[in-house]
Amino acid sequence: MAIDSIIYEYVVNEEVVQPNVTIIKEGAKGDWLFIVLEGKVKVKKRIAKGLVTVDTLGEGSIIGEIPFLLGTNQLRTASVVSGSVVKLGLLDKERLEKEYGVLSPQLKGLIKALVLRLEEATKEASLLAAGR
Amino acid sequence: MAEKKPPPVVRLSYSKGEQIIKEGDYGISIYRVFKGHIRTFRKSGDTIIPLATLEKGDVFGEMSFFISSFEPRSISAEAIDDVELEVWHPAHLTEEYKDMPVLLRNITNQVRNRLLRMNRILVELSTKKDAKLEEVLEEDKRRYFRKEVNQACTYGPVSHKSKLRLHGVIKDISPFGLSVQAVDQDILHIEHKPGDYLKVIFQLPSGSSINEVAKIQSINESQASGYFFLGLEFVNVSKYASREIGFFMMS
Repeated sequence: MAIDSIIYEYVVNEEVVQPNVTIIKEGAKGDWLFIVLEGKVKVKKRIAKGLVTVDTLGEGSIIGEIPFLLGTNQLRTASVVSGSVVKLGLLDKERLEKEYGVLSPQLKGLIKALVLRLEEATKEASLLAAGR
Repeated sequence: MAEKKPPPVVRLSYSKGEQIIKEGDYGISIYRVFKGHIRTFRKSGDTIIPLATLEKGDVFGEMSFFISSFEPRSISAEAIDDVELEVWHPAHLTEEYKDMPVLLRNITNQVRNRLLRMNRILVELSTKKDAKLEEVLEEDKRRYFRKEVNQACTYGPVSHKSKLRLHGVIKDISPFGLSVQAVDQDILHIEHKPGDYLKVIFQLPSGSSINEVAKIQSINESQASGYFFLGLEFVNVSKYASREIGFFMMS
């Protein structure tokens, strides 16, 4: 399990979450990154009419990565709620920050552009869905 | 550690209304807005789907870079006013991207995949006015959330009595099922028909062994003579397999 073992090296803590628990709250401060080790989570965006589910993520998915990639003092851009019993791995943020820090400004700019584009597209999709 | 050297930069000017990149065209350059404003959009038939307005410091054209195969542009970009752009050739950055630590690359690929998916969903929602987001998401996942592989497998009837095992090659895999290239002659050994259950045994490229039951959803001809394709859907997939396939999909 080559890939798994490399990723597991980044897991500094594990926790189990019961269904329907808010793991990450949109608008809140926080920069922890998690990996879904077991189960499924729902990504939800708040719109005028309430919360809308914009994605469901399973094993191997990383959550909480957007504030990390956008830089300091970013608020959580979406809520993440457990869709089942979920086992989460807390990732070694310090190590990731060190690795990210040495990338060239150009590559960091490209990654940032990708993240911003995802943000815009997700916002647009949730607004379109809310109009139904 | 010191930051890596930036790639050479070329600067270009565009007048108001000029198209910079066109959806469907091939191109590998990446652009950074130095002066002025850009609008990006996609087309679905006659419908224009606005995506973003970009200003100084913003980057676009990055999708061609993140999709490693040579794919056409997924968006168009047009100058809103007179603009100046920095143009980056991606060769230098490609090398850096390939050398990125595994988890960082996984995170970036995940963002890329979510964006591609969200762009497809935007088109669906914009063109099919009665579509529901949950249904569009589910359908999209079934259709696109798969990974090409070339992995040997064995398969056979689920029946306890049957010890018959045939050989196939898995061509793509998703959390929902597999596409298996099977050998024409094997229809002499067991009947293959939609709705039948098969036991499939294989190893993921990561090394994990998977042993699951799948239902034949479709049988299609293969372009390669002497073969056909089995579309298989997992039935009651185990927690272990779900997790291992999930990790493989994200790697």
